Amino acid sequence: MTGDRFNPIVVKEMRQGLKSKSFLAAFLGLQALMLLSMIIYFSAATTGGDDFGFSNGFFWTMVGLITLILMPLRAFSAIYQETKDNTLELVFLTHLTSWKISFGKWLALIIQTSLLLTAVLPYLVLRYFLGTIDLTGDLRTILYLLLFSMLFTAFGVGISAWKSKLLRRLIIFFMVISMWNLPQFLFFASFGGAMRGPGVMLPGLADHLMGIWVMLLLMLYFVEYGASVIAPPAENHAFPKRLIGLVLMGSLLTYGYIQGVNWLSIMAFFCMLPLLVDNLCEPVMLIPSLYNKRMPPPGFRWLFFPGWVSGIFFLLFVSVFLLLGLWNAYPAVDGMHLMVFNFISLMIFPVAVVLNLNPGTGKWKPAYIAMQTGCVTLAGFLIAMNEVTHFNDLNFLLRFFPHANFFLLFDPAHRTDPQTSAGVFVTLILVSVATFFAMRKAFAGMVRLCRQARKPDAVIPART
Amino acid sequence: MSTSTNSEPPNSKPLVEVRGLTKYFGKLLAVNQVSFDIHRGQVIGFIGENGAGKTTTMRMMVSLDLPDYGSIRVNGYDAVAYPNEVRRAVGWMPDAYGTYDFMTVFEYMDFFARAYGFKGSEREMRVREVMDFTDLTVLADRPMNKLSKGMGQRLCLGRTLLPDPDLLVLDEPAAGLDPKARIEFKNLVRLLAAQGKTLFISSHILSELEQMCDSMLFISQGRIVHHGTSESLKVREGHPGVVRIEFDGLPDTFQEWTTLQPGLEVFDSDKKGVRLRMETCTPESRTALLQGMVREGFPVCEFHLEEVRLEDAFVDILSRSSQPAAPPAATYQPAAAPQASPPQGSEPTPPDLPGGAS
Repeated sequence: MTGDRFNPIVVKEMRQGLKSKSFLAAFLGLQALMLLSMIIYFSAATTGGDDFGFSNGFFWTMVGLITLILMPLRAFSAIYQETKDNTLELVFLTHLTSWKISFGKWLALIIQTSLLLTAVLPYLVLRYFLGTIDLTGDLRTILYLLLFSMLFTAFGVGISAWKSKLLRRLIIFFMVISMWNLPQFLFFASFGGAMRGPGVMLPGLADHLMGIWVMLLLMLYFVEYGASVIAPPAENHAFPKRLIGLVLMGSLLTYGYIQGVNWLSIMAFFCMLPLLVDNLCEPVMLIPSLYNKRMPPPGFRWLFFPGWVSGIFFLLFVSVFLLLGLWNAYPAVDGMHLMVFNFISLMIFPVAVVLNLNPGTGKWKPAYIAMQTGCVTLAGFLIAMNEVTHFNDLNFLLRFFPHANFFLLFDPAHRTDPQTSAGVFVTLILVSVATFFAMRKAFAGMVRLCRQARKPDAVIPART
Repeated sequence: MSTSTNSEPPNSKPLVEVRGLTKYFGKLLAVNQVSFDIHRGQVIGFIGENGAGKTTTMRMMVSLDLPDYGSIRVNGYDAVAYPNEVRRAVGWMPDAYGTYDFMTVFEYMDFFARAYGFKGSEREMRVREVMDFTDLTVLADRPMNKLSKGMGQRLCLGRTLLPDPDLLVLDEPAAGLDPKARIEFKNLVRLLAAQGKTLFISSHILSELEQMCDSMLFISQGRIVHHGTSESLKVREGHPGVVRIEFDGLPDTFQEWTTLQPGLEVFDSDKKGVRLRMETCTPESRTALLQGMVREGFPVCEFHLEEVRLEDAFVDILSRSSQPAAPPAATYQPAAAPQASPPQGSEPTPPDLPGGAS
């Protein structure tokens, strides 16, 4: 009976995971591949050559594939497996919070990946004795492999909380597709020795530290996202998620400002995008304990209440900082504010439409994503039509379509066009009015609960 | 009959207060304005046909599902606003429990003991204690997925007992068990009840609930249709009842005669006699029936009211609940000899009974 300080989920997952066929297969497979790579090294060494390019490429590609693909793939079923087996609810009834469950799942997988990487170390030492091996570089490579594996695993754990098998499979499919050239990258990045990829991309120590910090924040976000999906509605997970998002955005914009790295403001925008979509698709829960006066921090409470209403305030808050970041990074670009205003309209537009047409709807994330995809496709089609026909009325109407403006505003001529400015502002006003109508009931409920929470006798309120 | 002797008096603050609980699944109204209280130490049976809303109600009680309307308080905590506090007070045993791969019975119990916050030797002691109580010690090293249904149910109950919760909510705990396992399980529940635990049990095996529970809640189509003891369920004057009549040679004309009487139905017959269902079974109507039969010259040698079985009462309640505004049931009035029936409002005369009839 040891390990009382460990998260019980970690203990359970380790007990199960180390006996699982997938871990055993990965472990034995890796050992076999390492032996093979040693044979390749020795044959290269005995034939008198000192070029270990191929041997290095093979070694790191095998290690990389197992740590970056095979182990993270296991994460995609981490929470879902418990849901499917009817065990998650039983765990919920214990003292374990949703965060502990999600974090425990992630940590257990990381420990298993670390075990695999530790099992590689003897081969690393053997390679060192063969000569021309940069041990520091090798260790740095292992560190980055572990970090990326941690990040991908966190992403997998977050996604594994989704109940839809189809959506998870789609994500895995797109992830695998987007990583199609990973083996090639791993091979050639390590051709001449230790993997140089991250080292080349991040030349300075500050860059390395910043990279690690951003990765850690992203891991934290994904794990917290997984927890938020399985959490009971009375828990406020919007607060930690949005706080992590703000820290991430702040870190990227500040670092970009200090170091003069302009593309970091664009990266901040892309990092915030999934969080903003998630916020706008959260239902508003009118549960009094969520509006307790202690939570979230006073003065910023309306940014952190769960639900799409505060999600809109959060979007506006974030947009101000993104605009400042973009202005700082690209001062010579005119009409940057139009892009940000249009972005706000574009993000809110489906919420306003869905909630005005069907106010009682509970979960509209699929509808939101479908609408955004449809609007982007329609915008692309209309822009193409406009290019072909040069039809004046269509050209004018496109100015009032945020998704079309999203593309058109990349053209400097459009950004300085008064018609486009008018279109962006009018659209923003129209979308804002529609959103106001959609949100007024939920907003009133939230205000009422905030007022109730201020009363000293508001101890155990009933659900509203 | 209850095995619990130490339940709180009904005027104390209830452990569970359910008020106006309503839950929709899409357009389907699964639970409709359900209200009841559970006091400490009570053993309550929760009965209803498949899809009546039992599991949904129980899941809302343990804060696993959200009600659309209404409130549930467990130990004073609102189940929606304070789910964690409610979950700590409740032990939930679902009808189907999930298993973990590559895990033994002991590891399973140890994991949940950790999850419930037990540490070190205290954890070891608690796990041993519960495993002994549920007779799982001999199975400690057996893989979870190699357990029989009965063993699995005991394991599931053991897990539920680990945190020593105030309230145990057991959803169909005896479903699918063989008779031996069922008896073992029933004994466990009796022991728990004797320890003063509050139990809320749903089951289809009504006779078992009758033996274990202080009172019963009947739910049908999402509504509570009866709440009371099993005795209160069976003894319901003015409601249908079954009388057993034996004859000194069953007359051929008897069945024909009953078809002419309103509110009477022969639903079982043998060589000796019949079982007769009376739509309204009051002492007055039974007296009138017996008088009518004697008057007709039927050789009645045995006439008694059969004890209502819980299953019959259950079916009766279900059939009533499916007819929301049913007219008053027809009362037996002997058609063949109307002049002999007592005038309305007058006291019935005790009949001159042949030997053995009651």
